[in-house]
Amino acid sequence: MDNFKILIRLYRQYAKMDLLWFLRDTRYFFIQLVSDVVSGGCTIAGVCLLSANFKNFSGMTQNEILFMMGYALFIDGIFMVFFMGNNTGMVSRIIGRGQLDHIMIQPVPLWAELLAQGFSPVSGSPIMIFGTGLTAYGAIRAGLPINPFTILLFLIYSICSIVIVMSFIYLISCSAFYAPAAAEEIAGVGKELFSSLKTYPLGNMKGFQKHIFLSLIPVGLCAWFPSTLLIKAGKYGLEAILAPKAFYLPLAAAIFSLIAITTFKKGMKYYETYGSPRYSGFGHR
Amino acid sequence: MKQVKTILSGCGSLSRAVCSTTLICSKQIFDGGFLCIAGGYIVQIVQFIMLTFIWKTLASTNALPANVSLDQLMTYTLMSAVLHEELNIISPATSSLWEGSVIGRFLRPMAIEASFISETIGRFWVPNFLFLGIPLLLFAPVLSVSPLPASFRMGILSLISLLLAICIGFAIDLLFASMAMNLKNGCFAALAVREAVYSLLSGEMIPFSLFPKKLGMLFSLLPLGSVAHGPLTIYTGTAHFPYRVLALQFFWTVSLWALAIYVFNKSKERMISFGG
Repeated sequence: MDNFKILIRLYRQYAKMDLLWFLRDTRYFFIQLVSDVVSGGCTIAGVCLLSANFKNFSGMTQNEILFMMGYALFIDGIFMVFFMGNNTGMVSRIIGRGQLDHIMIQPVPLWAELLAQGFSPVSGSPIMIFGTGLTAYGAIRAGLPINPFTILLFLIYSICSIVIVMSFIYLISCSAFYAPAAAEEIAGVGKELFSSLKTYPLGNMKGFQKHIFLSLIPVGLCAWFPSTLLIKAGKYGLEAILAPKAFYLPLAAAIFSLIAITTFKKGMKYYETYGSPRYSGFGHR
Repeated sequence: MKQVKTILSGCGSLSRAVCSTTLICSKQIFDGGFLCIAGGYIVQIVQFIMLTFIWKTLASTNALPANVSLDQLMTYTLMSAVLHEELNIISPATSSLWEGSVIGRFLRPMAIEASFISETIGRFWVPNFLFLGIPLLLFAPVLSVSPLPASFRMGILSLISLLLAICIGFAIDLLFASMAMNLKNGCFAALAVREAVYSLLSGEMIPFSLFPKKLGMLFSLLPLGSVAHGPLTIYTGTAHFPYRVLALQFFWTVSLWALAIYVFNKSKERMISFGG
């Protein structure tokens, strides 16, 4: 309970710092805002335009694809709001540069600091707002009901999706414990994998191919799969939710996070033994 | 004096200086950063495989437009992956601003533009071709993708088109670097906008022929449309009027280079780099 209170206090402090940055550097904030909106818009525009030319693109109507794009953007928005600051989402940089020490000397648990230090509710909000708006618009266009039940389900699936994204990024970032210079930027590769691939619908893909993108390379779990479940839930109600498929996403999130935590702990043990080459005479930076 | 020139320029002439810079930069990836670069290649390979699956699915449901065959689409996607670095040119112009290393380029005994170009070739093109291009070309037949051009003539024309596309790419890169100079601390924003706009408007990832017809036509007339869409459509034989495509590319090359040189020279005066 104490740790939870610490986490809340940390969130408050980081929110305050982010707000102060916005007030101090409003011009740069607006540059960032335009950049985020253009990036978000272009990311979704490709697949949306593709779907406009096909009546039923990979098993989804154009409005359903719009809803899926909204979901994808919302996931990006969560990443921006909670994990973009201080390289939390690019944790391989922290590990590779030996900056874990900066976190470890804080009088709070490592996990609490890692969870809180990326919190940027002001500077990271544009994509989340954009994603929320597009999801709502897509849902209305696709004829999906917006009620407390669907909103709750949407939030649960969104949390599962972002857990998968972060677990994947942290998992590959663990290589920075063993190869700090070579793997310093590897988190960006993981992020890019999800950013560029999650927007494609996998509906008509063959079983084996589809399963690869729903397990080993879980890009399908961060937009397409949850969106199809939400669309089913919206159209057919509880029946679709009770199906075993509905539990696949939370289960996958749990498995991925477990693997990531175990690997990270192992990496930390290595780090505790060998330290960071940053501070040695032959450090890479 | 001749001796001084030889020492300063590395090998005594611009072309040799460019070659030296290119060679040094291409060796740099083995200095420790290969893991990240290899990761980037994996993302591109996965993206290529995913797109081929999607195109195959569309073809199996007879959903492809009448003017595009599956083979052409697959070759288009393959070549866009193989030539990714040449079709989406990102030189160190923008990144060197926030790294503060741009000053080093100004001190070199060669034009800064030539320095950026040779670094791009060495750092991105050579490793990309060796570690992504060649494996993909060899692996493509396994996925039933032909890496060959539509005809010998189209192959030659697409080579000319590629050279023009590269010229346009470098001009656009300089324009974005100029924008970053004017944004001062907003280099990241300039890069993010550029990446997003490039992926949509160049036609590198999704061919314009799959977009609504009028929009596809509009995109192909824009400068970015000449970068990837131009050479790839000629290569795959989907360009109905290849010479018109080349003429348009030539027009954009001349206009954009004139603009880029003017804007870059103006922006240099406003350049501030904090470094880090």
